Amino acid sequence: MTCGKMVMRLLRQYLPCLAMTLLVAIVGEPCRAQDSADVAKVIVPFVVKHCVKCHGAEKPKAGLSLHTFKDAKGILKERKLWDAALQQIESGEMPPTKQPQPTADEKAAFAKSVRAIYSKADTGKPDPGQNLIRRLTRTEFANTVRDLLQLDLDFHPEHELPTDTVTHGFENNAEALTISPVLLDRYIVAAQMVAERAIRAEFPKREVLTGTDLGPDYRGAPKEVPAAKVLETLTALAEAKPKDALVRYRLARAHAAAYGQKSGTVKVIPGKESEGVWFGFNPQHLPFEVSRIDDPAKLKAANEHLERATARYREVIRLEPENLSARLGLAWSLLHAGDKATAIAEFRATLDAAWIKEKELRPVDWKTTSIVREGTSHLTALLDKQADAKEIKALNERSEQLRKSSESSPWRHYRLLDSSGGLPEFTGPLFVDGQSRGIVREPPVLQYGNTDEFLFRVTLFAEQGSGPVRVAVFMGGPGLPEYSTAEERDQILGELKHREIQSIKILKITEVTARSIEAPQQIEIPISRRGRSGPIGILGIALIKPKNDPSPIRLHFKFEGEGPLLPVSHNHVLACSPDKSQAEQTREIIGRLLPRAFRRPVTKDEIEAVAQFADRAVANGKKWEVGMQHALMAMLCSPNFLFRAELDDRPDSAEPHPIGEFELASRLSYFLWSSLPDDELFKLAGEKKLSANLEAQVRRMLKDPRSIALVDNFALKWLRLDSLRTHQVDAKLFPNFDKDLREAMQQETQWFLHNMLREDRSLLELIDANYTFLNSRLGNHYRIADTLGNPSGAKVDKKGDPIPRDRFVRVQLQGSERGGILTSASLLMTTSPPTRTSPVKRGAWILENILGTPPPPPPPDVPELDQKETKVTTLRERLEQHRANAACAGCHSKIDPLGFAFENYDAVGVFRTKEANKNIDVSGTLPDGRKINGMVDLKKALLADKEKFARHVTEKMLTYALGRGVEYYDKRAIDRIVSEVAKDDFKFSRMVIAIVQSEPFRLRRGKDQAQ
Amino acid sequence: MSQHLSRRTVLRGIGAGLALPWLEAMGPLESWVHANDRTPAAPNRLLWLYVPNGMAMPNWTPGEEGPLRDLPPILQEVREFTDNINVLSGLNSLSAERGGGGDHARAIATYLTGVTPLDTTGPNYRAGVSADQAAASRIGDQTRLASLEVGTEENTGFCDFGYHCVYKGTLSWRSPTQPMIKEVRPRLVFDRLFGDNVANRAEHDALRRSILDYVREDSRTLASRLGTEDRRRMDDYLTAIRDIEQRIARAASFPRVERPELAIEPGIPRDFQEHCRLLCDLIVLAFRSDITRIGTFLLTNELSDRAFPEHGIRRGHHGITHDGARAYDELTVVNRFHLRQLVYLLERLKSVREGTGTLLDHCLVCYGSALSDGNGHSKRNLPILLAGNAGGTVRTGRHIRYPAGTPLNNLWLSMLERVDVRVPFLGDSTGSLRGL
Repeated sequence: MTCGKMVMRLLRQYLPCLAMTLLVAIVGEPCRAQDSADVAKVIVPFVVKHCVKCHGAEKPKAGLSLHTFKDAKGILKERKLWDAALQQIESGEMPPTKQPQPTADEKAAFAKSVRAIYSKADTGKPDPGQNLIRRLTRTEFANTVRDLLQLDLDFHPEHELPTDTVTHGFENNAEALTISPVLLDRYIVAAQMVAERAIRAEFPKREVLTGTDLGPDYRGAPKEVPAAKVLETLTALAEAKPKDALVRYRLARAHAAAYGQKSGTVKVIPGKESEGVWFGFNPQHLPFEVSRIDDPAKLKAANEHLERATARYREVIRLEPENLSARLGLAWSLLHAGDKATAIAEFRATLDAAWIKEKELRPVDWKTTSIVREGTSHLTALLDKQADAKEIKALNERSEQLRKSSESSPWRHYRLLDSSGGLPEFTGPLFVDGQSRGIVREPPVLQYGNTDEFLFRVTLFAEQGSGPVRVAVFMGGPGLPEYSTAEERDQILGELKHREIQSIKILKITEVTARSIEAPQQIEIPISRRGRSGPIGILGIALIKPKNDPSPIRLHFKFEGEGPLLPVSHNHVLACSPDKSQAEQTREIIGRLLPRAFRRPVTKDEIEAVAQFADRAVANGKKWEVGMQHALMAMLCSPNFLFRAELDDRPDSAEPHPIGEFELASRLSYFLWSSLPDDELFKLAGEKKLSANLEAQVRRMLKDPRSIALVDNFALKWLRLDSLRTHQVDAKLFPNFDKDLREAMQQETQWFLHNMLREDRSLLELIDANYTFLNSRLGNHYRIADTLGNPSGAKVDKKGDPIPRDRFVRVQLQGSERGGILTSASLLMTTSPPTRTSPVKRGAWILENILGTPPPPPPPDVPELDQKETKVTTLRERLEQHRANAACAGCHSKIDPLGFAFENYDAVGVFRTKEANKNIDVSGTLPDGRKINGMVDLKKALLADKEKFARHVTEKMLTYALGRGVEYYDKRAIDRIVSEVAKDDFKFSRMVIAIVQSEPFRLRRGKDQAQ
Repeated sequence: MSQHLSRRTVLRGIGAGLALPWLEAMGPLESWVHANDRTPAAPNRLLWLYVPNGMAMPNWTPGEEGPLRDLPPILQEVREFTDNINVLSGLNSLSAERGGGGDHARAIATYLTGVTPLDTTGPNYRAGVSADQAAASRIGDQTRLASLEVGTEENTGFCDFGYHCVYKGTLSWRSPTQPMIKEVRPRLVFDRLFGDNVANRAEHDALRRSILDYVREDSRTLASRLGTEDRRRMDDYLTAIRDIEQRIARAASFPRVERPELAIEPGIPRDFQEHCRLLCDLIVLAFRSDITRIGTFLLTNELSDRAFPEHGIRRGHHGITHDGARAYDELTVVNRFHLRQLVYLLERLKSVREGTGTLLDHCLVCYGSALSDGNGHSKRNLPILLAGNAGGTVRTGRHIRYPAGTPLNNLWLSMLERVDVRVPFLGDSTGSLRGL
């Protein structure tokens, strides 16, 4: 036996600390008499006699030197190490059997002395450690300005800031949060961006947008531009950004236009340039209309040109005579599906009147719709309401043909939904007739892009028999802050199963009193970006179920948007009393904002200093709004904002004393929200009632959506799942893996963890749970079909609801394949190399992140597993070979069995029972002799020592909550937290509450007592 | 034809509009190359390009000393530049040999500093002053930016055993406790080089100055209410304020640099090579407009386990190195791919005319790794390539072998001399390197 396994395991973790201990030992300090006597009389002689031969100064085994410990403090600082040593000595594991053994008395005296040091430390006065002034992290900066100024969630000032360094596992470590000139420079830039975003110096011109124009391209009128000019511009653009799909299609259209347009001009619909990388295919972004190319020679030339232009892309776009004819080729193709098809190809584009006439289409205005749908990007066509089932079938067949014939083309997954089965979408025409029975069965929906704030206006009137007509205006989309419940949605008339209607928020329910087209009624709702993290999917209107009134209702309506409006932040920040003078208004606003920005009451002088910026700008002839931007910028650059400083009337006192109420509010809010205290916390702190109400406040804060910060900045970092974003997966071996799946994996984990906070679940559910959150993409990956967790394709007694595509829903899990973090795809993937699984990585992950005992590094010169040269085939056999080497066995006997238990999950987390046509063996023996066979047993084994797990989570969370590494003097607080958590069924909230009530969280002191 | 040609064309077009400020406005510069020359002389620039995890050494080291002939497989990539480079063998980073595990972190932290870093995972990380920062602290005030630090990977993910995450992703250390955190997002690099896009510079600077004034006052008031420890930490902030003020003042004395009309998308380019090349372009722009003369570029972080499926390398880079000689073929593909990024940079430097030659003639670009054999984590006989001749002060086209034990830091001393920075020693250096 070379060295103690336990010691070896602890070695790496504590080596740095050992180095520090050495320093302390050299510098020295007066020790208390009793301690030093025991250490000198009992502990040191024991160590000298039995340990230092191997663990001394010269080439210490396992790098562990015990000769440096000369006093009680040194031992306390390395308490974990000494715990391990004590355990090994008492169990007889150390000294090794071939060495002289201590007597039982020697051992007992040694153990007693060490424990005496412990117990003395545990009953002394508490040491909360030091809470250093710290800069806001980039994440905290962004959250704080968003909450302070009510900026929208899509605004990311943190992108202007460099990433913060991870220390002790997290980015919020106080000692690391210093500031350098480069950094301060970036914070000033970010402050300016924020100020200009929050306050508008120029007021936008409001425009009314009618249904057909809504979307990002709405601003400005279409204009004619020479095709050659467009071609030139776009070629340059496309070559500058060869990866940009948008540019690619624009290029394609431009080429087509150049060769197809007889007039030599192209109609350009002005719009916003798409920023960043653009996926999918969205007709809203196609700014060109292209005429039909009838001349075969020209078509050929266009195709050749296109082929050259697009040769570098994987997909070569081919033009067919038909698919040039409308703004979107597919629609035209669909038109040719059947002789009687009366569909029109209308994609927010104008069709020329002659063509409409030729096809005998009715004017665009009054029409019901059916839709063509594409997998991800809402490709929508309008069909005349006359389109009957037969026609729809024909169109579907045509669509299917198209799909098959061009697998790589952008229109891959079109499916027409007929009006009885699905939800038709309303995309352009302004009024919608009722159905023949006089009831709008499905709410028409307006597609809307993600633009600025705007006013959504519905103009409507009803025709009906009797009783009041009520309507609901709603919004839908993947990134809404909240969704209406099933009960709320149940008020809506018609089919509710459709997934798009499952993910909506009802904005308003109102009665329609207007009864004629001459005197319609208007509903106006401001649509803000605030609180939303993604684009609006849909806006729509629906009939509310009439009460006891079977008579038909006929509703006519049209949609308009008006915008952009001034952002919410502008109105929020500049709200003030209108009758005051400008200078007074300035001071009123700053007097309101500054205490919140500084997270404490402020002085008159402080307000005045900031107000000067506005005054000076106005004096220099600038608009007042510009002055307020400057004032805001100054406020955000102030160290009182940029740093979290804890004001204290005796900052240098080494005596632990409670922190102030405002300081407590900040510690709380930055711990749970990574943001500033909200109104309620601020008010409670002002009334000095916060410390008396900690538990209630924590519970409230955990339920608040802002607690997602604790998931992102604490939990994902702790579990190392933040590497998901950049994790590489081999595309050949895992062709199904793509960015949507990656995103879904991340979201599942976020949903699961956030739910743990908000519903206050047990921490043990991290290891095993009987529910999770899925969208349909990840559901397919897990082969789970519905919300009851039924397996895909299986015959089942009770079916759950379908899992929506664009939203995560809670799914009950059946069986034991999934549940908890260990079996989540995000973990299974991030612990795998690109091409295969790694039991070693997974085993090491468990040791480090669940058990808190990271393995030491592998020694150099050990080859990785080779796939080619060995005769053995399975990974297990290869690892067994590896373990045959004694140098490896010490650690790998601990790591590998844990890792093998994961082998039923491949490198992207798909469940499997065979690898290379062999049954996978998931059995193993844990170091303590327990045999486990696969994930179920592993979870059981981990759950057998709940407190050990809780202790590890506590240490991690305390590190995050305090923004400093856990120290030896925190042990008492940790013990107490763990025991409280255990008493309360390991509830998540209890851990947070126990932490915020602990001494390190509520007390502070000046310079290190221990120095 | 390369699909990147067009973007380069765009950049070149932009670059053409940039004045070469030292030629037009600054008059003769005191450059140690042409101190007595009557023609305005271009200054020398130093750049370090770093690759992690060592090299497939048998495929790197040329067979014999002297003129570069019969290039081994990896160096085949730079054959076009044989006349512009030297391959240096036998240099060592001996200070990285002290200590247990965590070889990768220790190696890179020692690479430019010659100082054994403190093995800590805590915030008390400590290395030495790096060669580039030694130069920046002395000649940095002659340019708008003292130095530029870029890379492609942030300091996240798996960090080496026993060492803080900052080590594996940092080449530059301003002081032993101040790592220069590199920027990985090209747009932020661009913003740093060319400043914010402001219409009225004077007004913009005035606003900044007044904000800095306010902030300084505020800091003093705040500091007076803090404890000793916190007050000390606030000093950093005051230093930063002063630093920016000085920079604003200094910038006013430099000739104006036009901000290129270049739209760089925010975030990180999805294509890795594209990312590398964009950063190379920005370095070249910075050098040619004399925004800075010192740069470091971590092609990827030390310990990087990036796979290169587009080149048939489906396993991670770090993993491959630990297969030792058996995986040299795979490793060579990675090494060659990395070296192609250097070739791209050299092409760009060579394309810029400067004085009677090209920009490359006034550069010293050091390409290398802090490990030689990645499997054994060897810090001896490191793979080092030096491109450019620093205004004719380096004889190129050779393979030079140094005696066993020669510190790598001796090379840094010699590079510093080429920008007129003379320091008695740096880290574990024993004197400048002979025979260049």
